[in-house]
Amino acid sequence: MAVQETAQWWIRTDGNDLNGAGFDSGISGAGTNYCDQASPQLALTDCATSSSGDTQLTSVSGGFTSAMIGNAIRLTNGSSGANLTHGDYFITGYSSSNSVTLDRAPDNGGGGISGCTGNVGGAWASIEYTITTVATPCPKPQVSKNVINIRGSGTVNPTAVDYPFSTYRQFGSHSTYKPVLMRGYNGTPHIKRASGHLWHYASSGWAFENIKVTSGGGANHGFGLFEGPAFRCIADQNSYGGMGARYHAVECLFLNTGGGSTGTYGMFDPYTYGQNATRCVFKDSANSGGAIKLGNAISQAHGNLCINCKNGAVIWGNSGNYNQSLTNNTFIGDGTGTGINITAHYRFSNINSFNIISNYSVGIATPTTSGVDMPYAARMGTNQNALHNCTTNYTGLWQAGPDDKLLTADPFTDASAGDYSLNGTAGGGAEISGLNWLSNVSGYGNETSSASNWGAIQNSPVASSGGASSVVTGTQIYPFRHLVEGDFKDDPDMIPHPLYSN
Amino acid sequence: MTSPNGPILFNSTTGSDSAASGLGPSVALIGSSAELDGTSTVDMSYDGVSLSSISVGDLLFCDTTSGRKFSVIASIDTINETITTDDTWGTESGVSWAVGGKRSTFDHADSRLLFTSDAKAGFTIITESDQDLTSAILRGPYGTSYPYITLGGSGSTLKTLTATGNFNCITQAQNNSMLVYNLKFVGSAGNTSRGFDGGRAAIIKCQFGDDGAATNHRTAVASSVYSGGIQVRNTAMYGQGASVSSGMGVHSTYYAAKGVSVFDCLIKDFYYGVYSNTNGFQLTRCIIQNATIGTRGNNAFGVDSCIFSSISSDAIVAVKTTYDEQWPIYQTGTVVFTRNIFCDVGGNVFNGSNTTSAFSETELGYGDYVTCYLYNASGFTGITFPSVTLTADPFIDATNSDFNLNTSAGGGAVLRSTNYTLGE
Repeated sequence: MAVQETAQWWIRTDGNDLNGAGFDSGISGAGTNYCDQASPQLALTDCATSSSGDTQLTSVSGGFTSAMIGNAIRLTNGSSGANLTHGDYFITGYSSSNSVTLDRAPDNGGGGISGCTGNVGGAWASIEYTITTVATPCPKPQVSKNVINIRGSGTVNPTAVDYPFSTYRQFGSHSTYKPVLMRGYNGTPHIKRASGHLWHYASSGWAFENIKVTSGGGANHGFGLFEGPAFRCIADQNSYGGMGARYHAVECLFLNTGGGSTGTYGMFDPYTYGQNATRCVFKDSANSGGAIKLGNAISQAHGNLCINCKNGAVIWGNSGNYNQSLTNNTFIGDGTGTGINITAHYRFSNINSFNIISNYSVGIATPTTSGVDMPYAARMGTNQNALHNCTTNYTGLWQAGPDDKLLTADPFTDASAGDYSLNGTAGGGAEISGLNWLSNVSGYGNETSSASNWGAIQNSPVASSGGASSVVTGTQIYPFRHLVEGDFKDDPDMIPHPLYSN
Repeated sequence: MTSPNGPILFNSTTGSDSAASGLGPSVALIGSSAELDGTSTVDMSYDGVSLSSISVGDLLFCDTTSGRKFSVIASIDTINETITTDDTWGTESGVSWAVGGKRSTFDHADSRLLFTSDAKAGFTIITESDQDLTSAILRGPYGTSYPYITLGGSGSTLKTLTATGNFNCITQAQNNSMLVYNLKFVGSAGNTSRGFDGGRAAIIKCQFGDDGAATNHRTAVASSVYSGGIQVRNTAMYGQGASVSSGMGVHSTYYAAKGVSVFDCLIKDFYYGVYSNTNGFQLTRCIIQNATIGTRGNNAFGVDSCIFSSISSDAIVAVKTTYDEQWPIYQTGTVVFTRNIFCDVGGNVFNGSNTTSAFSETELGYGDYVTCYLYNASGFTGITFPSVTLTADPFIDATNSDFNLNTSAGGGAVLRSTNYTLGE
């Protein structure tokens, strides 16, 4: 039996790369997971099998228990091992304290193994060994759909680096549709290379959850901080240019792009078709490529909150040929850049609507020449967005569409305190909240309090009194879950719009 | 090209198809003795009419015997009483002409030229009255494309286009594009046609049919040509009933079309609410009510914050394709798929022909984002979404299309923001 898809692996800063580190709950009779601990549950130096092809592992010193079924034992030659194929073997059966059954024979064909070192349980120490074959004590064991659990320091958004990389690393290849998942726990584990980019080449079949990666400097172009779908991750550009994520990004936090010569990338800059940025926060971007860049890789961005981003979104390339869209995002600039900069040929079926664009030099920039199928001006005119406090609302062919909202008042509850939920101010939030979606259609003219709002959905932490408190404060960004325990308020009523009366 | 001064106006009650261009002075300047010499300059001097009230950007109508009849005015010579237009004309004498006023009917053969051969990019055609059609407004046929135009109704109430026979109200061939705004589409009893068909289009703030009417089109909107793509927004679509097997609210039918995006729409009384044969679509904040199948897709598609109410068979059908194999949602590509509400569903809430192989949203910790809220609805085939079963109807009166949330415990109260907890 080979390593199964249900296997998971554990890594801790206090672990050891000779530990077992693996547990597979899919193995019949799986017992206790001993991997989330620094030391192995059982450490042996006399592991043996009787003959080539034998899966029965024995140890005179022993100490096996039935609860160890499902755990991996990492077998190495140690000082006196023989006939061993180094590797990670799962315990599938318990015979006695001196004998267990492994998922496969550990020998190299030269006869039974003897004198081998084996550790059951305990976490590894190095992330790097799971993603590269360089200097590993064993061939990396992960197969598609395995989970690699990485323990953090307990801090949500740590400054200190938990797992420094000495050089860039290259991902092993797994099934794109059955990716290996790198998942952080106990806070957000923080990975950083001392200098230069972290990864080399795009990943194939890797995904990330609750991981923080910080740019070590250098170009960091051509390689994003997350080279696979990322969920609730933190990508800190560390004031360098480059890309944060090149694949799906869900509820992620992107920080501190520095612009410059490599600032032509977006914080979210899709590498391949069909990637979505959903409900992420982009904060402090100086990149000319914007927080969100939708181009040749046809993608969408929905429900994102972009704060102090010199440029909000860039739509370019051939993104018009497919279902590109930019919906319900809130872009807040520094007064110098462009909120949405559209240079692409895009189509009617692409909706770039319900966005809030605030505090930009140019709100929406469009080309000055028409496209093939229809004027750019008219194309953008089919969309609807809200602009506030922009020096120039529109440049290029498109001017205000019939459904655009030019806000005359700040639409946010308290932006200075990080609360970007919509207020009820006339000319501000009131213009773009609770909108009746069928007011033009006979019989559907009643406003409702539950109708849709524009901009990013604001998940406001609810104070004990029930009122909303601030959302974005200091380095703590809370519109995405899991980073902070507690209740959140989704404003307005959770779904579904449209809700109406006739 | 000279930019038009404004919209080209139609009014079937007060307008004229023989003595108005639709854009220019409110009271049309007319004559009957224009001289066309094969250039872009038209000589009106034989009529002795002052041209001083005409402006650059107005529209000239010349009732020629063949060829062009409309062109935007580029310059006016009030001394010699000539008008120069953006386009050249044929050679003809004693031609009736008009600038300004309002055209009367979309149905008039001359008026149809404004949609086709005489159209200019950016034309906006507005009707102040309802319009009856004896044939489809055709922007085609195949192989012929015309510039992008906008077509709309004036004022705050929808203006109705009525197809008096079994034909589409508007048909666009490949590579034609238009924006449709503030219009209502009505067909004839028992028709097998579409309200809007083909091309690239944005259909905004419109209405297709009426609730329960016999004259509703069998299909409201179809994206049916190569490279087509349609956006439908803030629009109500009423069909001929859930049992009419070929009836579809929105239909993306051509293999090489670019799909459809449907936002903030009501889709009621169709066999399929939304059906896409081979290309992707996005369905956001829509209500699909009284359908046999709520939505069916053979490609990547997103269903985002929608209500499915009174669906006799399956609410969502995902037919096996390579895209289906890429589920869960985050792998399906350019779609947004979030929480939806399903009430009174006779078949499956979700019926997929394949199972997901990657980590599910639940495994990735955000399963609540794709939660299905179920009242008198169940069944997941292929992919099992996270779900919450409501113990009470969440809506005030769904039967009568009032989908406001009620405050019932186990019903609407569950869905209200004050009771919804996102945190773990």
